[in-house]
Parts: sequence; C-alpha cells; structure tokens
Amino acid sequence: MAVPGAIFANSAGSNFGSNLMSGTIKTPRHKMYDDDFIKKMADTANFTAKKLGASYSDFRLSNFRSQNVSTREQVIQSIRENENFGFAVRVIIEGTWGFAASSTFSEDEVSGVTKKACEIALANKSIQLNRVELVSTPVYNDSWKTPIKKSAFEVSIDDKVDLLFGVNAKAKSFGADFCSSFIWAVNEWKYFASSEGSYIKQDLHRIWTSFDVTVIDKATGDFASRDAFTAPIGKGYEYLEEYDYMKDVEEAVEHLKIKQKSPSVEPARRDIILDPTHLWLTIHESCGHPTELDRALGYEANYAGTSFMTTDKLGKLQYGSEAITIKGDRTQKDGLATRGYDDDGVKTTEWDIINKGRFVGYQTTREIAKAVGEPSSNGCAYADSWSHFPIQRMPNVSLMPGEKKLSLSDLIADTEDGIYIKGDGSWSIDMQRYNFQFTGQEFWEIKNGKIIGMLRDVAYQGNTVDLWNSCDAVCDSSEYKLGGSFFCGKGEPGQVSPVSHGSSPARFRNVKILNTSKEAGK
Amino acid sequence: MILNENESKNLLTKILGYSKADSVEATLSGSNSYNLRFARNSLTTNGFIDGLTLSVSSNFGKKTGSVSTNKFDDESLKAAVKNSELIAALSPDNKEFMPPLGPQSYSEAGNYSSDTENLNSGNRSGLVSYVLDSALSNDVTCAGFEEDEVSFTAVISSNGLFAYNKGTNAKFSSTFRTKDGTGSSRFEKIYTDINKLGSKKLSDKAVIRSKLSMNPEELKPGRYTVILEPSAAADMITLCLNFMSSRSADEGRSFFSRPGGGNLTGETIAGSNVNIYSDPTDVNAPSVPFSGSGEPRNRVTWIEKGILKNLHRGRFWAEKTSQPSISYPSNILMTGTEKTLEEMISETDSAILVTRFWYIRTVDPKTMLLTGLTRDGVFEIKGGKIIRPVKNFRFNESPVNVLKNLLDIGKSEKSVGTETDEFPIHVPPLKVANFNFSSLSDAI
Repeated sequence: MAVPGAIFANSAGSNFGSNLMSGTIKTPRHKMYDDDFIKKMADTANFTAKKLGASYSDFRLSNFRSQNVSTREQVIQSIRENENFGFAVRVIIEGTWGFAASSTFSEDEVSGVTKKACEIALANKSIQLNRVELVSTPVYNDSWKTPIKKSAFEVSIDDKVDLLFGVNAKAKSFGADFCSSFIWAVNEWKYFASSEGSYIKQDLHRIWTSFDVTVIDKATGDFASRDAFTAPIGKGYEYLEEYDYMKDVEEAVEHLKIKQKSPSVEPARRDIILDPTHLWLTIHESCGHPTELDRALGYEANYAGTSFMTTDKLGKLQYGSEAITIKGDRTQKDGLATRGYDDDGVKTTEWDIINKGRFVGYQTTREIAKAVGEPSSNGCAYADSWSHFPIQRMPNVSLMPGEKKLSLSDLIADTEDGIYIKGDGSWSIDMQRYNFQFTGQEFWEIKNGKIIGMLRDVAYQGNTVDLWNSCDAVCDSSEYKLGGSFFCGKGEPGQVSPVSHGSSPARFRNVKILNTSKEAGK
Repeated sequence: MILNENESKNLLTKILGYSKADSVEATLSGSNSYNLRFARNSLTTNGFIDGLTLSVSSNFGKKTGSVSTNKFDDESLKAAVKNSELIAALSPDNKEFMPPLGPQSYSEAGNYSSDTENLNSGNRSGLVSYVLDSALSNDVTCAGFEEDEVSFTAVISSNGLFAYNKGTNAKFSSTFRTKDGTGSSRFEKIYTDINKLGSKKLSDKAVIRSKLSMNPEELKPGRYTVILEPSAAADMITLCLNFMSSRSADEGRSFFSRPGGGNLTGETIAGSNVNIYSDPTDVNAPSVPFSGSGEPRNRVTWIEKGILKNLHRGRFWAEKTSQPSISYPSNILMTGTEKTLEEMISETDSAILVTRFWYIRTVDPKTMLLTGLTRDGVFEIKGGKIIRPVKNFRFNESPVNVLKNLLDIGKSEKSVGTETDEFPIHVPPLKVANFNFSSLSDAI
C-alpha cells in the first residue's frame, strides 16, 4: 500500500519493479504514415471533390489518443488506453455542405468517402435555403504543437497509480471515508488540407486530474464531498508535479469536517467573492456560451439554445460593469482551447468579447463570420472527432485581471458582509443564458473584512447582465488562475470540446443567495 | 461498419487466440449513422459516419489492462491485445476484480428494424423537407435534427461468453420559434422503427403550440400543481436511476441510505400509484438485453406500489453483500393509465402545464434536489382549460417529491427527456402537487 508522503516512489505493494513503463501505444497510428502519403491522400480528396463539382473541400485526418487511470481508495478502477483514428472530407457543392468520414485510411476509401460527401451535398441541396459561403482566409503550410515539458504518455503507469494511491491514502489518513482519484491524458493529432492550398499539422496535448473525497457523519448520516481544486489544462505531466496535491487533499478533508458542523445559510441578498476555481464556470456559462455567434443566429435553437446577446446588441449592450473585460483567446498559455489553427484552417488569435463592460465581439467561423460583417473568422471551428463536422466552439474565454493592485486578502478585508465561494458545484442556466443558478464546494462567510467560518447549503441565483454589472472589483494578475473543462457539450450529433477560463477573484454585490436544503422542502 | 453475428464471433474468436493472458474479454461495436441538421429554415450540416471499435481487457490474476482501437488489420489487433496485456502486467492487483463471465442466456431482442437500416437519402430529406415547408408556410423558424443509425455490439470472453445484438435508432426533433422571438415549441421522438416516428403530426402540433406560447405572461414563482408532459416526466423518472446505486446507498452516501446502515429497499418512497421498472424486451421501449460486460438484463422492478423494490448493484458489490447482481438498466418504464393528457387538463382546476425541462443538474445528492428550467411552452391551466402561456421558470425540486406528490397519471408513451439522450423511456404525463418553481427566466 502506498503511504502518505511517498507519492512519487514505488509503493511496496504495487509490485511494478524497476521496469517502469509508460503507455503502451509506442507508435501512435498517425506515425505509421509518412508525410508524403498523408499529403497524397489529402490531395486525392480535394482533387476528387473538385472533379465532382465542389467549390470548396477540406480533408481532416485525426488521431485521438487518451490514457485514463482511475482509482478508488487502494483499488484500481480502470487503466485504459484508447486510440481513435480516421479522416473526414467536407465539400461545398452549389452552396450545400456534404460530409463523410471513415476509419479506414486508404486511397480507395479516401476517394469513396469524398464521393459520398459529394453525393450527400447534391442530395440535400433542395433543402438548402441559405447558401453556404465562407469568408476568406490566408493559405498556410505549417505545424503547431502544445508546448509541453513532459508527455503524460511517457510517464510510467506505476508512477500515476502511486500518485493516486498516495492521494487516496492521505485522504483516508485525515479521516475521509472515501476517496477516488484519476489522471486523464489526451493527445489530439490532426492534419488539415484544404482545396485552397493549406496544409496544417497539429499535435495537441491536455491533462486532467482530480480527486473526490467524501466524509460521512456517522451520528447523523449526513455526508459531504469535495473535488480537488486542480484544473484540466493544456499542459503535459509537469502539471501534476507542480500541483500541491497533498495540501489540497488535506484541506479538502479538514474543510469537509468544518462544513458538516457549519450553519446552514440564511436566504438573503449578500455580496459574493468568486474564486477562480469557481468563477471559470460562471464565465463559461454566462459569457462563453451567449457570445457564440452560431447560437445567436439560431443554429443551436433545437439543442443548446439561442442567446440573449443577439446581433443587434453588438457594440451596444452594457453587459457588465467597467471592471469587466473578457477576451476570447485561442493562443492563451496553457489553455485547453489553445492551438495554432482551427478546424477551418484559420490561424488562431485573441480578441475582446467584452471591453470595459461593453459587448464588442462574437466567436466566429468561416461560415458565420459574415453575419456580423466580419471579413474573417476568429478561428473557432472545432470537431471533437474525425467523424464529426466542425462547428463553432468556444475559445478560451477569460476575465482580465484588475489593473490596480488588489490581492484576495485585500478584497476580503474590504468586504463587510459576504460569502467567498471556492470550487465549482452544481450549475444550470437557461437556453438564452439569462437565468442561472450555481453552487460551489466551499462557502466562507465574511463579516467586517474577515472570514469567520464556513456556511453550507449555499446557492446563488440571478440574471447574467445583473450579475456582471454588479461586479465592482477584480483582483490583480497575481491572483490569476485557469479553470476549465474537457467536456463542453454542444451540437447534434453531440460534440464535446476542451476549454479554459482564466480569472482573478472578483466581487459581486447584492446577489440572491438560496438555501438548498430549504429549496428541497426540508 | 456492421458485422453480423458470425462475422463478429469469428473476429472476436481470432482476437482471443492472440491472448496470452489468464483471461480476456473483448467487445466489438460498430455503427453506420446518417444525419441531417437544419436551422433557420435551411439545412446546416449533415454527415455519414462509419465506425468500428474494439475494446480488449486482459487479466493476469487480479490485474487488468484495457485498450481500445479502431484499426483492424491483423498486426494492429495483435498489438491491441498485447498492449492490454502489458498494461495488466504493470497494474497492481484489483482487490475488487471479478472474472469474465461464462456462457449466458439472453432474452430475445426487439430493438432492430430493417426499415430503419435501409432508409435512403430521399427518405431523410423527405422527413426534413416537410418540417421546413411547414415552418415556411406558417411563418415560424425551425431548427432540428434527424439521425438514423444501425449499430451492433458483440462481447466475448475466454470463459465462454458470447453476446451479440444489432439495433437501430431513428431520431427526429424540431424546434419551432415564432418570428417575434416570444414563442417556442418542440417535438422529439426516438424509435427503433422509423415508421413509428409520426413526425408530420408531431410537427403540425408543435407549430400550433409555438404560436400558442407567444407573449408569455409572468406568474409569480412559488409552489404549484403541475402537469408534466411525458418529456418532462421522463427526466424526473430517469434521473432517479443515477442515485439508485446499491453500493452508494449501503456505504451511507446516497438518498437511499438507511440511517444506521443498509439501504431503503422495502420502504415506501412514493405514492401507491407508482410502478417503475426496466425490461429490455418490452415492446414499448426495446433495448439491448445485456450489459457492456455481457451480463443479462432482465425485467427489474424498481418501485412497486410506491415501495422501493431494487437498487442496481455491480457484480463485486453483489458478491460482497450476498445480494443478486443487477446491472444498470438499458431502459425505464412507468405504468400509466388510459387517461390522455387532454383529459388530465380538462379535469384540472388550477395548474401549470410543463412541456419539457432544460439543463437539469443535481444540487444536493442527499435530498436528490435537482435544478433546471422549463422550456418550449409553459401554460397556465384554469377550470380545465389552458388559458394563457406563462414565462419559463427555474425549478428546485427532487424527483422523490414528484413521486410522493402525484395527483394523477396519464397514458404512457415513448418519451425523450432533455437529459436522457437515446435511453429508451416509456412514461406517462404526471400531475404533481407542490412543485417548487424558484424564479422566473426571460428565456424563450
């Protein structure tokens, strides 16, 4: 059994010996084909499409690798490696998209799939009321790689198991009843070639690790859980070596015990300070999603919904207070949505979405940018698999830190009556992104500039524009952190995308606080 | 890619032949899937996806390693098996290891339709063009999604297990929004057999409903009697399954935990008119008759006359607690009555009619408190009639309260919830007292 504090050493019981071994996929499948062959296949697709009448086509070859190690206490739940390789061809014929994909990579299959995409486009042109027209993009011949220091795929499985067993053991030793934990590493390799002449190769990496600690009060039967304050992130395994996992798990158990003895919150209007471990999700739901142009235009009306931030409000809506500047950024350091090029072959960039509270920018792709008069796309096309059509997906959307020096301690000291919320809990927002309700993991009560203890059963509820206009302070860059998700869902068929959101702690005034226990009728 | 039973068995047997492990399980799954997506009264995206995946889990003693791949030449298959063995060899013992299953017998599946498998491009665009034409002629804006898929799953183990199922799904949904942006309605259906969709009738009804929902008025948030249409009921009933783990209950971290130990099986947790079960052979919600590990899925009663009869239980926990193993189900059904939704409305003095929910999340697992919103049509009922559309609400409510506070139950139908994906569900509309609407939403 691994012992607390020995997380990077081989544990006595794990019996791995010295032959440390990393993931077993030594040769990722895309490396089985040389660059010339891949380019030949891309050219075959784009040439065939042109011959069949396509005004535009692109070929996208992808290999998605993942490794997942999951544990519970001192038990392995699963160790799994996945590799999913395939290609897709997208064509435009007479203003109608055609799309087909296959996992069989050969010249005959590439030709056949391209023909199928063209057939689909022709079969559907009669129900295409709005012709597809793409804004222009420069042609690129380039490659890009996530700047990782250590590939998670080259770290031994026993190191990962030892780390997780160590975390679980630490939680138990501090009095937790249960602790599970996991490491999930993803490598997304993709090759894009368009009929316009772009050839782009990318090698993207990301990692996510977390624990879930549960403490049960045997006397009352009450139980409470907390996740790690880690963030899924666009880094390599170095993230796990930099993060103080042991401190986090110790605090998690200690704070759960405090929480169980804490008073239940009184429903009221209170000031709240949102920590970056929580605020990322508020940004995601109430700014990231409503500024997706495809939603605003109605492309998602049947599923994810539309947006209150309609095109007539661009440049006019006072979305938030002057303290609020939010950027879209696909170049952000360590961001999950960071890459060199999007799946339209557009070079990535950063831009203002909210500038000093004013709504000034959408997220766009080549197909939809023209709807708001933009001559070019800001690079937000993404498909989560070779088998899916690229749609407009969220870039990293982050709240800029305050320009004046202001630490979290300063902000708490400046708050008379409030709640400091850490960690993301339950989240829900309506289909146009007005009404939200969020909970967190830790709720610290502030009185007269000091934290006086924890509260429980806290949720806050409100309206997006009201909330962001009530923000009167954002801490400076010394407090800035990234949060994020591997799994932002959208589209039909359903797709997920990885996305980060950075922020410093921010204060929001006079927000409606609910008691979740009372909401349940207790 | 679709392999038939013999092709699957031959391929999986070949894969077992590559194994040097003490025991091994392998699963093949494949599909051919077509889709059409539309919005703003026009086609937006479409596609054909041809996929085939192999998952292999190799075991040495109690050590397990798993690999999945979608490459099927002999060398790649051998590499997949070998890689899973390498991972297993590197893994510590799994103290909760359960050996692969041996031969099993399964109920006959009814989740396949040749008409769905053989749908062509013309059929597909025909389905969509009716909706598009209807939207244009009624001056509303539609968005929607059509998907038809044939898929198969085959599972084998070195202990003699072999399971095969081929199934189909035809899925069609459309949202109609009025041009002024104040009204919205939607339908969604998923059937094994495309011929059951009945999308023209559903589309016609949804167009009318979208206009009926225009200019909703504010009603104060609070506790109301509600009639949940089947889509809304589907979410409330199906999401219960997420909390119904026997192990979580026994470990004291679930609504279903019994104070002092054990779980609430045998206790009355709902009204005496509540009967909920799963049965993959039920023609109203046919589904795969085995789990991912090849464990048979048979009829399981979850709640009978309001009494909790069963919780789902994995093989390890079943053995540890000397209880039967009950795999997570592949469908859910609630017994209804012969009463139509219209009859339920006509017999109601005062209530809120909820078409469907949106963005439901767990707020507190201790009470199973869920939050979410209403969407695509909320109406006030007075004196047995719908009298006006009202604004959307956010709710904070527990499905346990819903099942306790049932006033009336309608006729069950195949339903799709907002959080239930393609899980086969057959539930009735529910009339529920004291449903907690926490705040108003301006969203349409």
